Amino acid sequence: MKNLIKSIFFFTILIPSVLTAQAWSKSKGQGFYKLDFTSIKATDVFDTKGDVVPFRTLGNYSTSFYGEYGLTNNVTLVGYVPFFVRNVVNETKGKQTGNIIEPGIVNNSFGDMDLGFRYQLPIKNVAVAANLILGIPTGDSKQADGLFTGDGEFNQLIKIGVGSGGKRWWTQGALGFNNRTKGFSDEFRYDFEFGYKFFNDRLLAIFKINGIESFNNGTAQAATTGLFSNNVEYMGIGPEVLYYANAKKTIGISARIAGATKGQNVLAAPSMSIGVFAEF
Amino acid sequence: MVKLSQTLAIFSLLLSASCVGTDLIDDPIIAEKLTISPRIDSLTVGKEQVFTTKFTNKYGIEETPKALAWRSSDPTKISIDATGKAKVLATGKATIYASNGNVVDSLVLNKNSNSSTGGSSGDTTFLKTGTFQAISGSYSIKGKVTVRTVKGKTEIVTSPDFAVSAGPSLYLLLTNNTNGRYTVTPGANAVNAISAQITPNRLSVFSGSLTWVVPTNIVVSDYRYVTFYCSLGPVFGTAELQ
Repeated sequence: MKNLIKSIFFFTILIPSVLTAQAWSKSKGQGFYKLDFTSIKATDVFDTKGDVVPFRTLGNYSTSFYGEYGLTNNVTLVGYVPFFVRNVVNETKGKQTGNIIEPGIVNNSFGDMDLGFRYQLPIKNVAVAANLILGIPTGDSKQADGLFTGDGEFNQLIKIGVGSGGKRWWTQGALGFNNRTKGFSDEFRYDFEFGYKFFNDRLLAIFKINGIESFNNGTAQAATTGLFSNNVEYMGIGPEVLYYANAKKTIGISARIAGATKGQNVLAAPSMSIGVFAEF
Repeated sequence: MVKLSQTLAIFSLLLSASCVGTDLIDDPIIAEKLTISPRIDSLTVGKEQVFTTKFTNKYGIEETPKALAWRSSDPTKISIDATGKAKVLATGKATIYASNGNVVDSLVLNKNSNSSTGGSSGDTTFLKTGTFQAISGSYSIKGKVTVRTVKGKTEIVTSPDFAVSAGPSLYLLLTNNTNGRYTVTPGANAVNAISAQITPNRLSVFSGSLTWVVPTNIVVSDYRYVTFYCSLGPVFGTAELQ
């Protein structure tokens, strides 16, 4: 059971928990903006073969901004900016001697940004949107210990989202292909969510599944790709709640916990996110 | 209404939780070691030489020997007193021994040869080899390693069929155990009784016949293994030097 309900994190950027419905575009002039803090602290990793193995205690703390803005009724601008990413490896100290055996490692830096567009396809009865997300290598991919905050490569993610919903519920799913450069492996990405609204639509409870399957077709070696940035795979499961703090439903708070049933080249420990958002 | 100050306070609290922590572990245990110094191999008749010792305990920490004793294998040729002062009385080979309980070191003098035992060989050319073995199933390694001293420089050389899994933060070390927990300082050569960092920077080549020059402050014979270690945690593989 150790492999079950392990949550995940990886240093490359997929639009993370802050992502909202990908199947629907924003109306012109409408926006959704979120400040998010995600943390994970792990003592195990899923290795390159998918086995859970011990590791030095490693924490990742990412503070990010996510935004969507409707340029037109059919085209939405999407951006994800992890403006402060902190990677920490604990020091180890001998119980008997008190000596520092392994010094701690810290890397604070900007992360890799994602910028893109969502286009609402003119299809009736069901919402369908095409997403083009460009991964901009703005993070640190040179750190001496390989503890990068970015992968150093420019990637292009094309994703089709399909959604439907009623007065109090919605569901959506998406499939995508992520073309990566500089010898990184390409990826197949997928996600699914089901959401339900409570308390006059002020509380939104969402169940999410998302994942990555690597094509493992890259040639880049770990010395240049850094830790956990290439050949990453996982399937993550987790709930998220959003609560509108005012009656106008323009601002609110959110929380999420994520877990994975499988993984490859990712940390294995619970990841948690909290955030504040605005929608207007 | 969520106020900005409350939001910032929450984020500050979360960020403060992201400080570098300390994991307490049992110290790695290695064999206690006593080393005679200086590592000379000859003394002329009539000359006196004071030898000293360095004792490291099972945690690799240097401490004063509690029961240091000296003796000579042939006091008629070389005598040595309880303080480590030796005097050459006649020509011929003799070995001096220092002991601290069961821990012993020796030094051969006047063998008419430049070899010695129990410590560094100085400029002496010597040869040690080992075969790499993986520590876990997560990382692979194959090939052999040779340690040699040529023209005063000690080198670590891998065989042409050598290959190790590429790691994001992989370093070559000499170590006294195989369980990880080594000190690595990027850009430097961290040295202690547990490990000695041969490569200042993380490796970028992971196969083939590779050669590294051992820094002069590292005594190869102080260590048992050639080890590839990822400073983020895992040991990729080791070769015990024979």
